[in-house]
Amino acid sequence: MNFSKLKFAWWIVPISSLIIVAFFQIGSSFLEIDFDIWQHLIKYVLPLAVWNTIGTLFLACVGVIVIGVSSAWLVSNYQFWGRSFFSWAMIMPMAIPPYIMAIVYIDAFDYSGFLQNFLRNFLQTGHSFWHIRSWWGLTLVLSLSFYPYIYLFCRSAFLTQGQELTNVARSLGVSRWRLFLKLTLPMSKPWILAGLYLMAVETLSDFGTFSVFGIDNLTTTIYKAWFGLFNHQLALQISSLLLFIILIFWQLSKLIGRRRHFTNKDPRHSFYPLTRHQSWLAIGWLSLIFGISFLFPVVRLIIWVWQDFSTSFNWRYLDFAYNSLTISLITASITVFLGLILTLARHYRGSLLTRWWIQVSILGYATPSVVLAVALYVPFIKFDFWLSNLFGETKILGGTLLALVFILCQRFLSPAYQNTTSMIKRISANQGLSATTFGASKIRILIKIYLPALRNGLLTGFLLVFMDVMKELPITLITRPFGWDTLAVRVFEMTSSDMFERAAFPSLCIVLISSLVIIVINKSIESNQYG
Amino acid sequence: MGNQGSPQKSPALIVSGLNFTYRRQLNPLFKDLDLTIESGEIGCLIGHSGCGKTTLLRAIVGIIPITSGTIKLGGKVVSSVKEHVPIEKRNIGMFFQDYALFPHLTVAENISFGLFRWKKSLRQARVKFLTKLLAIDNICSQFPHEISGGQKQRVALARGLAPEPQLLLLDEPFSNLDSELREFLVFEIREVLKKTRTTALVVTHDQQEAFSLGDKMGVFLNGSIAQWGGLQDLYHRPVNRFVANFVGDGAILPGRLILDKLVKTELGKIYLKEKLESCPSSLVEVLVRPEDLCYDEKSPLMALLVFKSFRGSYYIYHLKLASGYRVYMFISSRHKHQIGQSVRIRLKSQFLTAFPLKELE
Repeated sequence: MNFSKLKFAWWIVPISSLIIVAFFQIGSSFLEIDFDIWQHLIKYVLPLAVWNTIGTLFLACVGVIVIGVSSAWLVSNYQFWGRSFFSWAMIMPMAIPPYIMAIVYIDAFDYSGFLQNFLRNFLQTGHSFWHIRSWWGLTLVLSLSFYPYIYLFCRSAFLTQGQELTNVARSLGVSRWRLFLKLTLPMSKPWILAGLYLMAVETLSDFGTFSVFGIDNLTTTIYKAWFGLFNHQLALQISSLLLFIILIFWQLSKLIGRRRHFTNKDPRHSFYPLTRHQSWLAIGWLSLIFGISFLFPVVRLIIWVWQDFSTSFNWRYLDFAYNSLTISLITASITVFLGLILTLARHYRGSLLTRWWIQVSILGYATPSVVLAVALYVPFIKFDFWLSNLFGETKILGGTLLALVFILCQRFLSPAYQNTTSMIKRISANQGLSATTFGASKIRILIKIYLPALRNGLLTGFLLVFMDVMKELPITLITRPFGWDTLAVRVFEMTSSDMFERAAFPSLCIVLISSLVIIVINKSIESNQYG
Repeated sequence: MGNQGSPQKSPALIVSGLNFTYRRQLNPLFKDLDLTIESGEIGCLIGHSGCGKTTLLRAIVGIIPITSGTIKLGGKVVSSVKEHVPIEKRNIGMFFQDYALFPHLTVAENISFGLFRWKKSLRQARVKFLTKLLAIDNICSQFPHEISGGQKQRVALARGLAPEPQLLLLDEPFSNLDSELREFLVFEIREVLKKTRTTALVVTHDQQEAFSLGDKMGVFLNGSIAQWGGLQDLYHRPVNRFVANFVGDGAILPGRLILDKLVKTELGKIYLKEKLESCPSSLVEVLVRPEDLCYDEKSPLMALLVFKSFRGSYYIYHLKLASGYRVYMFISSRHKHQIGQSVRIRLKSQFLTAFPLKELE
């Protein structure tokens, strides 16, 4: 619409304030550089941290591509017994935060772990069969945790490419295997890259898993600079390095996946029947992935809880669970509301400036939690200090729940916004216009036309944020009020002191709640697709 | 294409006794469907949308298995109850309504997609030949989203023709184009198909397309092919009133058989082209095309003008006879009759087509 070209949705400015403050903080941290510490860092700390970060990321990328693409290919192309079960079962690992996956695998393969013992006895060797606290262990855990991203993107790519192209290619004499290499895979490249980018951001900003493994990466280095050295400037300076790496990945994914997504209007999709042997192979492969990425961790947690219930259960856990649920609910509600405001701003005043501003507002998704928390902590304290000078002792943002909610909202605004926006794009401008011709007011159109249409997007956004907050660790860890623990924080504290079995109960809570959320989201997406 | 010797006389495609019912549906889509296309011929199949034309193509190309009957390609059975040659082994070219170009490949790469077994030099020569033939040699390095609808159509055609298929199937090839471009392209595509001596089966819902594109034509009706033959035959000698209704414009008038080939109607006495077979009663229905009538100031026959549609050099008049039946008539656009006015008309053609009335129910 032409008249809106110059209009700027001024009301969205406050939504992005925190991210701007955070970036401002990071930028201004360079005003004061301690060269001695940097020399030390460059010599002893950073090379290893960067190497660990990039190296494991690369390996995990290979892992998730192998697992994610193969499983998506199987469930979206072939008909075999259990296909529809696997179709949603393959996304279940999303319910397990990688740091919980890490606990389970470290426990199983550590020197005294039960799988390690079993393998040692089985292979009759005295030494360890596999050193789990290594790159390889980490890669395994990251791959198993993050492959659903690739799986989801690939599945929707494979399912929406349409049967027509496949049929044309086949009528030109191309075999199935060649078809996959020459047609399906290249056409899915943008999707795979989008999945890889998300997964890369998750891995780069991961804090919990790397610290459980005791492998230093950039986020743990930032955390150490902040918590160990109490050096705020330094933490922010290292953060900028991490952000720079994320920026490179962003550019890379844009560069390689430049071409647009291909979808086909023809929704017909048929599944190719497999022979009995092929079916067993497919079921075997998918069961293996499902088994080691979801079933095994969940069963392991349940056994732990069962065995140690009397010792590990504590009435305080109810408090943690209550805290987790409250913070997740509050954050998800606010975030969805803010996401809706951004969506409407884009819809009604979608000028370049508005859209640009929205992009800034949702940058939180690409800003690692640790960075956001560290960058905002000091300005919050300063704000309180400034208020205290004016009105006497006040504590509004320094180590309060309010601060925590603020930061979490800023971090997870993106999923809430993206889901509503993708929904509003389906409403044609003419639908709104035709309602206007009946004399409906803007508010009425919003309530009668847009909100019902956006319902699914709002719900999905809400659930995604809810789950993210439930699993979130660093922001809660750094900015929570003193003594106010959530399930995730409890897991982290117990694992930091190597008391894995005592982390089992809160872990299981997180996994079960997240599983529930995923099942609901999946149902709503499916009903949306076919309904 | 390569064999310039004696042209093969055997049919390129024989479909016989084809039956097909969609799962969970009672009505069969095909009932004992038979269809034969000779080598080098362009056959056009017309029918209402949703009548199963596309499904027939899908069965021929091998996307869906068939439950009875056989499909033979060049004398070899490719589909039967027992046998199902996979799509990639059939050597049938397929042209889809929305072109289905591979979006990640350039025009040249799209065309050579099916030539992966060819030698590189041959492949290049083939692409060059086809792009030149279809006048798309200037867009070879562009991507499908960068070219126009008409160009896309040519690329899709070139891609289908590239591996020299035994048979080319075209599903509504012109439906995504605007009407001006359409008329021009229909002619062009016929030229290309003829030049490459391609056997083709086209399905469309537009009879004009079928008229200008095909050598033979068929009407798809209630799960089988009601009539298959030359274009003239279908227009002038439709086998039943459904075919008559579908091919060309025209009105159906009741009549009474007086003699073997003589029918009395409201328009007067009419001679039939052929003697009616199996006519249970003397009641018949006569097909009156718009060109069968003409305006005649001296004629005693009057009809009420209820609607007229301007076509440039002529009008089509919708006329109501005294009995209430409607007929259509072409008339020069110089005439200026008002709607509601009575117009004197006369039967111009001597011979018409009639159908026994039994088909009414």
